[in-house]
Amino acid sequence: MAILKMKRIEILGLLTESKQIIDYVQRKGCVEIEDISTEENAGSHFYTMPVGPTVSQFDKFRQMAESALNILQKAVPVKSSLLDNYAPRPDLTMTEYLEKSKDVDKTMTCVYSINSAQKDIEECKADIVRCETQIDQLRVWENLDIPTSSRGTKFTTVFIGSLPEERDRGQILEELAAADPNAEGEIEVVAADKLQTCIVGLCHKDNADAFEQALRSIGFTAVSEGSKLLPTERIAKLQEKIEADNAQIAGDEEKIKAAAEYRKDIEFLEDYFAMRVDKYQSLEKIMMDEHVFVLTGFIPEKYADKMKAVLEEKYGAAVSITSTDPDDESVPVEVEEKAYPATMESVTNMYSPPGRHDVDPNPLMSVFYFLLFGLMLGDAGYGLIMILVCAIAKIKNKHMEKSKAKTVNYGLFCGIGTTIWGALQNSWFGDLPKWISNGLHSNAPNDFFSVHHLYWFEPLAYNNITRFLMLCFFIGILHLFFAICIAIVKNFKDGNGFNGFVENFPFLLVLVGVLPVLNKFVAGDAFVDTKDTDPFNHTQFIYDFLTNHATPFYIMLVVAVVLIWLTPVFTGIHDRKPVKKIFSGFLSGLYGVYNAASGYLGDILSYARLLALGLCTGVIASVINQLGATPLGGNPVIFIIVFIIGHTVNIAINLIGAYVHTNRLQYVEFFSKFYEGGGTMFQPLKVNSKSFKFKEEN
Amino acid sequence: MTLGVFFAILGAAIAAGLSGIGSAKGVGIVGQAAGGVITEDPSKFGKVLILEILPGTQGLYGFLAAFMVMNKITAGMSTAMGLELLAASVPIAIVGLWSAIAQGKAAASGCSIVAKKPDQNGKAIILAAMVETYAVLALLISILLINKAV
Repeated sequence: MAILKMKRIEILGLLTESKQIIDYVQRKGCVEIEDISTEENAGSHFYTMPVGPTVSQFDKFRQMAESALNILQKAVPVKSSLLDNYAPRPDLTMTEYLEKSKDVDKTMTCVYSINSAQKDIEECKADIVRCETQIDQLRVWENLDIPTSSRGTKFTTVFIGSLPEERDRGQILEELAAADPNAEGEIEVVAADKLQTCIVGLCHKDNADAFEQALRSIGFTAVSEGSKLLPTERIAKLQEKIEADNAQIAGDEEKIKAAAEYRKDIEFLEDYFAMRVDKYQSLEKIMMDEHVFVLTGFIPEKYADKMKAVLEEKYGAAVSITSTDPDDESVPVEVEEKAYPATMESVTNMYSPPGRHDVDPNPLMSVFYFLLFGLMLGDAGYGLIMILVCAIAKIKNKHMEKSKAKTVNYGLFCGIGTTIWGALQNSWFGDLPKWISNGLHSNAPNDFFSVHHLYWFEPLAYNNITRFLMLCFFIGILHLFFAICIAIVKNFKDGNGFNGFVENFPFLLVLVGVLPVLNKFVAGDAFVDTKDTDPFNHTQFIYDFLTNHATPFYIMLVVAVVLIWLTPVFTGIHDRKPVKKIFSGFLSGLYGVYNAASGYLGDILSYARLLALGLCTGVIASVINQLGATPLGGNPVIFIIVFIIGHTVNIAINLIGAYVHTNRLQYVEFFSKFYEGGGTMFQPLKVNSKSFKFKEEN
Repeated sequence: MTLGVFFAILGAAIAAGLSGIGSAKGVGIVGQAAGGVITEDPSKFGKVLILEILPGTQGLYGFLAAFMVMNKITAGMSTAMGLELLAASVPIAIVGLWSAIAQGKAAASGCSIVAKKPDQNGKAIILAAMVETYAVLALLISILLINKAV
């Protein structure tokens, strides 16, 4: 298919019907609502509904449901494999949806209780930590048989506190005597460790000041908090508290676990509020007065008639559908593809969605994409793994949703491309078949594939590497050739055929004419050795042809250079002041020649990455096999361990490499020839639900 | 061992070594930036991972060149042949070292694109991937030169 034709839709309806109409539009998910609440309507008696508080309230509810689900997932985990992500969401009819919506309040209570239970747990845990720290601090005072708040008796004063460093009673008394001979009193050491000595000092009341002075002079600090309870009693109390907290936590955890049966309802709740948030946000863009409301937006032409019919018949709204201004760039662009080109959508959108005047790039890109990807990953074993994974995902989920099917199909086609190129290059997990056929003792070529020549060429054998490189350049030249042809056709369609042709045609000549040049410089005399039996050798005639019949190609190249030079002159002929244009054309044409030479040379050489990345995968795969086979002379256990770990890493790294560089070739080399992009993506008001999808009732 | 074998091994060593250093440094630079992005939003891990791996390819290219030199090594190889292989290893060694670091810096800036405008990560990838072209060209010439050494 292609880029859909976009229409403008205007809906005028009674305010009383507005809820049903918006609900219907949201369920259909094919109208992007345009914000008309701005300037031009500012003076009219229409107004917009202030929805800010409502939206934030709904969003808060949604977040609460989300956090409740997270709590449940931690408390009662539901295992889900990677494949489950591709399972279709269950269908829900409108009646079922309304039925379920009635229970929203009940579910919300459940969400509240889960969240508050979790908050409780967190508070209890913090409390436990607090108690434990206090117990740790009290431990040193365990032997103290009076409360720490004791200040003395009728005739005595008590000092409870600590001294730095470890000292014994005699030592302290000596130090006190040395500090002040009058400071008489009694000292009892309660506990002592390397950092501190906890003591109780006792003296006569009259002597208290002197005694305290002396104590302070040797570094005494009194305990900061006093309690009327004995330290042992306090520890016991804290421990009781910890136990109570633990019981509380256990109770709360039970509560959360019990709520797990409502998981599905909470999932529904999250979607329910997400939908309402979307809906209320779009309400803000709608103008209304006391009786009617107006909604304007964009709708793809193919859905327009049905939408109009339903809204008019069912809800009594007045709907007008008009065509959009073709030059208005603010009109969004929607692309609809068949299954195969649809796999390219995410790649295109990552660059930029197509503009309104672009050709649909997805089918065009899909011609070369998997071929390039396959060549860069280039190992049949890895390709088979990709095919296997995608096939299992497809078989397990027969009714996969479109957006997910795109990803799986993408993987599948990449896998197929990789397998084909891998098999052509005799790379099955690197050189695994050779090791197996030799009982893991060597990788001498005697496996089934090499004996029967079930491949095209081995890149590292003989002089194949130069042929392989030339192959990459051929593919690149084809790719570029294709892109330029697209540009020419596109220009004809836009009614700009002459200029488009004059500007682009010379580059086609360049791409063909450059072949013998590449052949001469890259391949040179490397093809002298033609004794090998590789089937790849049969391609030698191409190189011989290019060497022996180079003249026509060179002529083409010269013609192309002249044409590129004269391009600005040709395109200037249609100008109002041709003489001036033609004259300046000669100069700018010269610059054009330089640009073409450097640009296209760079473009073609860029395809060398096909070889670089392809070789990397294969060579590293072979080295992994060698590493596995070498120690202990081919011990199968070690081989399998090294094989699994090594190839997992290799496939991961090279998958990303192949993905990035295939995209790069598409974006930089391919798209630059014809694609403009810069379109606005079509973002209709729709049901963004995770746990269900609507099914139409008839 | 002849001097030729020594020089060839030296060539393989600098090819794998220098471009490995470059890749390690480049990946490290992106890793730091990526860590910053992930502290804000862990769900962007996949996007920054792609960026982080980009400067890693130079290391692979160096490894590939080293492997090809290794394949060429024969017992009793002449000094001239060894020196030729050493010289052929120089492009990927130097360009690999330099371009991986440069690519790391470009990809690290790409991480801030991902942080602020996650839907534009394709552009971040392309900006960083542009640097790679020169590593590819260096590898290309190294391979061709290794093949030419006689």
